[in-house]
Amino acid sequence: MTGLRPGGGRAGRRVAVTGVGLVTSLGSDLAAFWRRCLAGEAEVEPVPAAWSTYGPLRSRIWSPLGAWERPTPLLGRLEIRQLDPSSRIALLAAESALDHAALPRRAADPKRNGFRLEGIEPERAGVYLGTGVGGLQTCLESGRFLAFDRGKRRLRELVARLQEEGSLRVEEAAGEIEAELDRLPIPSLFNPFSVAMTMPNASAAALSIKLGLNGPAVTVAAACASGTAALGQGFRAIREGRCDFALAGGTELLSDPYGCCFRGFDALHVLATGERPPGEANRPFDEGRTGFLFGEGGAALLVLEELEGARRRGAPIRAEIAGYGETSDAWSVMAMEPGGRQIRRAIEEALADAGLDAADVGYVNAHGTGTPANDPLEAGVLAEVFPHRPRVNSTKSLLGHTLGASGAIEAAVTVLSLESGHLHPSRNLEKPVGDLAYVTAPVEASPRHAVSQSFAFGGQNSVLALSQAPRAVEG
Amino acid sequence: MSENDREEIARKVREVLAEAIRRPAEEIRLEDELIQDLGIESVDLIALVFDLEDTFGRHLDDEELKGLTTVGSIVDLLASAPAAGAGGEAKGE
Repeated sequence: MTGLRPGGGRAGRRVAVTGVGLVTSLGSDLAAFWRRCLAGEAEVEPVPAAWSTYGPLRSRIWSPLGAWERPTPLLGRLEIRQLDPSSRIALLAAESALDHAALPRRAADPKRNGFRLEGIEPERAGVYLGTGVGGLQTCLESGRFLAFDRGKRRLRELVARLQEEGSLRVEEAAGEIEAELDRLPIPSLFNPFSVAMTMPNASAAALSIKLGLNGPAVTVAAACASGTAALGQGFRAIREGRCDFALAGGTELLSDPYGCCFRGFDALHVLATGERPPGEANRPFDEGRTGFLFGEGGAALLVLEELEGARRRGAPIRAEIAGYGETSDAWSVMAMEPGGRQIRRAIEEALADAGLDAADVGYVNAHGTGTPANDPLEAGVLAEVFPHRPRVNSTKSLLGHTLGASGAIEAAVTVLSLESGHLHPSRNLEKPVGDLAYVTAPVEASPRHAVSQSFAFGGQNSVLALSQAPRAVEG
Repeated sequence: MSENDREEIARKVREVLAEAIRRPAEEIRLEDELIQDLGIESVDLIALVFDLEDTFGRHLDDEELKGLTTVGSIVDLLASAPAAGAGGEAKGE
């Protein structure tokens, strides 16, 4: 099929990526983020010390987001109260993506702080957003409040009464009770918005409400593949003519004061462990890998537009999504199907959808988690499907795994790679698994076509085929 | 509660409201009605109470909230002693 133009597989409408916005552990400024990726940087730190006081942990490192919140005209004081952090991250990534796409916003409803996008028909504009756990932080917080608030206040009263007695033994008892109370971090109030902030579609709703997008607002929950699958759904909606514009990507926030999310993965023995220094412990596709680096969270939103419409408005065309494939292992909630037959089928479906041959692909942004079981299986499938050895890297080697956000962040990285002609190195890759053309140092490369792939707990496999921005004469 | 304390509460309440409705604090008068004059919708009213509870470290129970109609009534409530059983000072992380 070599020679067919991308997007020529099944339908005439083509889908341009015109903007990218990110919130990641390597920052939210796109240019700085990309410089840091190319330098192979990572933010890896010991987990908060308090987490170990609730029980032993196998893994001791994570990739924290740092101070991600920033003032934005999109969010007023009372609106912030009504959105889970995962939704606020999504809004910030969307704001950056719209700026990157040169899409100005105008205030359309000052009373409700609502906006409209200049030149975009609201009823032809959708939101496709992936998330693994939705507003989990709000849910956990509200549960903690109900379970502990009353008991904590009573214990404090007891401490006060014991202290009034003044005996040393009583003081010792009071000290112990106080220490126990300090291990109960709970919110000061029950959150009246816990339902609206927890529901998984809260972030997609926030984007659609805030920007006045009246097309579909779809939430895709497919664990680690959520962001990739959401981009695939957004791509299809535009190509099939249901939308002309979509904000698509993924968002996630996995932190809590007890380290509950972290412990959930730690208990499954899937996180990076061992005695190496924190910056060297996360090793996707390396023989010394021990598991994935837990990422606190992040978001990536891509502005997708029907190519001709984007050209008419003079939008920057950064890349093209040319095809999408998705399959399910129907095998296990956690383990990949041995042999990776359905992963292979998802890649082939994405390529066929794009009208591409495997040989056309010059770069694969791999799922690349760094777990002992997954990497060899993925490497084996890549070797089979792409015998011509396209370049391969793992963005998770830099950022860790951010569940529902990671696929979208990796698609954004793939767009940046196609646009800039540079590929970032896979960090800590010294003794590679399999004979793939891994990128181990920043490299100049101009692949015309690339693949970005994600495989989820639950067995969902999602693969995007992306291409360099088409030249105007092609269209 | 001294007159200075009350003024400080009024200043803080105006500040919260100003940020919430994106208007200068000087424009917000004590006699302004929350819904009619400031245009605060019912859901935002819940968010406002949540915000005030957090800002002032005090639980406000439903009985106390019944009289909240104007900016001044918020100031009066926060300047008054907590009602019995209202939970008193909010303590948390």
